[in-house]
Amino acid sequence: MSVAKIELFYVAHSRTGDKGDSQTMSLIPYRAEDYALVERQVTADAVRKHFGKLVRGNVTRYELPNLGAFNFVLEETLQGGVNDSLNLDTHGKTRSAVLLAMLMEVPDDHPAFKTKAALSSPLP
Amino acid sequence: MKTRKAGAIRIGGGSGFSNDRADAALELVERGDIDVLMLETLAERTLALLQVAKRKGGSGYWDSLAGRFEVLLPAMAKHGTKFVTNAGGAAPEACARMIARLARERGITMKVAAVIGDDVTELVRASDPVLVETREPVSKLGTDIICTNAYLGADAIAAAYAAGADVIVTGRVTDSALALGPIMATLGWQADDKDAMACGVLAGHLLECGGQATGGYFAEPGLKDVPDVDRIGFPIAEIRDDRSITITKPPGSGGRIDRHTITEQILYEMHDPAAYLTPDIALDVTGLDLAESGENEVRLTGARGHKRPDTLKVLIGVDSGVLAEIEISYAGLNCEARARLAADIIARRAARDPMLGNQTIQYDLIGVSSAWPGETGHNVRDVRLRVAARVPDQAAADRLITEVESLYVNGPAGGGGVRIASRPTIRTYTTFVPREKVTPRWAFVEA
Repeated sequence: MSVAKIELFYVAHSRTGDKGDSQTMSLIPYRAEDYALVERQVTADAVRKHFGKLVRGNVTRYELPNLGAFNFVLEETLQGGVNDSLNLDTHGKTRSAVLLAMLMEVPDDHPAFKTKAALSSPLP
Repeated sequence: MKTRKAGAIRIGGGSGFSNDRADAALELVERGDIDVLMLETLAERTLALLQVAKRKGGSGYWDSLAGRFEVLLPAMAKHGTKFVTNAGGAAPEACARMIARLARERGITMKVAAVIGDDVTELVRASDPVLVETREPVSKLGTDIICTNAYLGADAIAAAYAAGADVIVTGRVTDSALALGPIMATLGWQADDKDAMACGVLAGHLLECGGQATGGYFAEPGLKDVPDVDRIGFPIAEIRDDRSITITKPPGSGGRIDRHTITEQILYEMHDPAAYLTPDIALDVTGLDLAESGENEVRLTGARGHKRPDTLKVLIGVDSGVLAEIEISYAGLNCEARARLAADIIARRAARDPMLGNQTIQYDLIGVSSAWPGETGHNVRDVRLRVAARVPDQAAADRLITEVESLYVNGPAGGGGVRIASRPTIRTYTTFVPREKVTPRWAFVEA
């Protein structure tokens, strides 16, 4: 068995909320046994790097093993918040999809590869 | 206080915002076997918009909600359901009177109460607290303040409920208080019982966004599927005196309740999960136990509470100019280059324009398949250029609109489908005031 890369999208799900110029993002592995894998790789630093210039402030990760979940807070990420943003999605609610585009390394027999193969894009 | 089940209260979360699906709230009343229907309708900016309308002679609440109440009131009367809502907006007493009138016109006897005291305009004017965003006193803003409202807690709602109110109408309260008030009154929970408050706040938090707890805002085709997603049943929280919360939805409704949907909503808009701050308690979910206790049923225990803040959060709304958004489409080969050229034309012309030269203008490129609707087999992609700016007044907005619309005859080849939107916007600032300076009050109203 070797290691292969796959998008976080196939391993966990996420919901974004906003408070002022900050965003909150839950991250919930589909399989409870992937908690440790996600904990090792989807660190606050990794998330900050992934978002690049979209995040100007701190990124904090909270671990909730009791819920099998993580909670991220990204600060200074919404052009000043709903007040000032000129973005189409002023609240940044679509940003959970950006988080889930992050690549992670998993064993090449991980079930996420089956999920990925089963999903085919309806658009060319 | 008598409820459907001894030692428990069942509350339905009937909306996640002011214009949410009406059928879901009615389904909760008719088939949810609930003691209380909760309707959350007051997003951050909503109250300021209502205040602006009130100044121009409007009611101060969403008049469009009356149609919804007309449908809900007879159903609630029939099923003995109580009703708690923040629909009062900038005029809780007037909204309560409107509901009392609707009830009387239908021969329904209901005791309707209004909760007031969230308007802290005078307090803030006198004490001039520092704003979080500017780190300067409110008086330094130098702009006309539209509204100043504190997020009230559950105490006045609980008092009105305990006094026998069938309908309670509030202005700005923290959303979870709409559930916590009836819970406190029904189960006899006191404000100094921290873990009890935490349990009630968590229940309210799970109800305040309606369908977001039951499979709404969740579906990912092929990966996170939601059964009957076109008719999601809204959440019902059964809060028991053993401090457990059981989340279900009306029998036969669509949607999904499990570890995944409920966990997404528990963490929604939560910062530190050990200290989710509300006027009533700092909620700690780090010791929470979540069990899938049945089909479409989750049971939560172990919510902990820590000392509530000594201050109340206050939102101040001020005028923030006009937001103009204009879009135009390009399609087919090289469409992206044409859209980028169009953006470049606008940017160059705006830079030479005295009204637009200093404004920040944003350019977005959007698009998948609108150029050949219904067909996805042809490789005719489209790009939609979106031009957006927040400018001081309508005149400046109109100038930008003219520039983008002029792309029709002056811009790159094949531009089409211009859509124009411009609207006044409101900016909010945050500050805090000492809790003891704010006095929530409630009173019964007559039609």
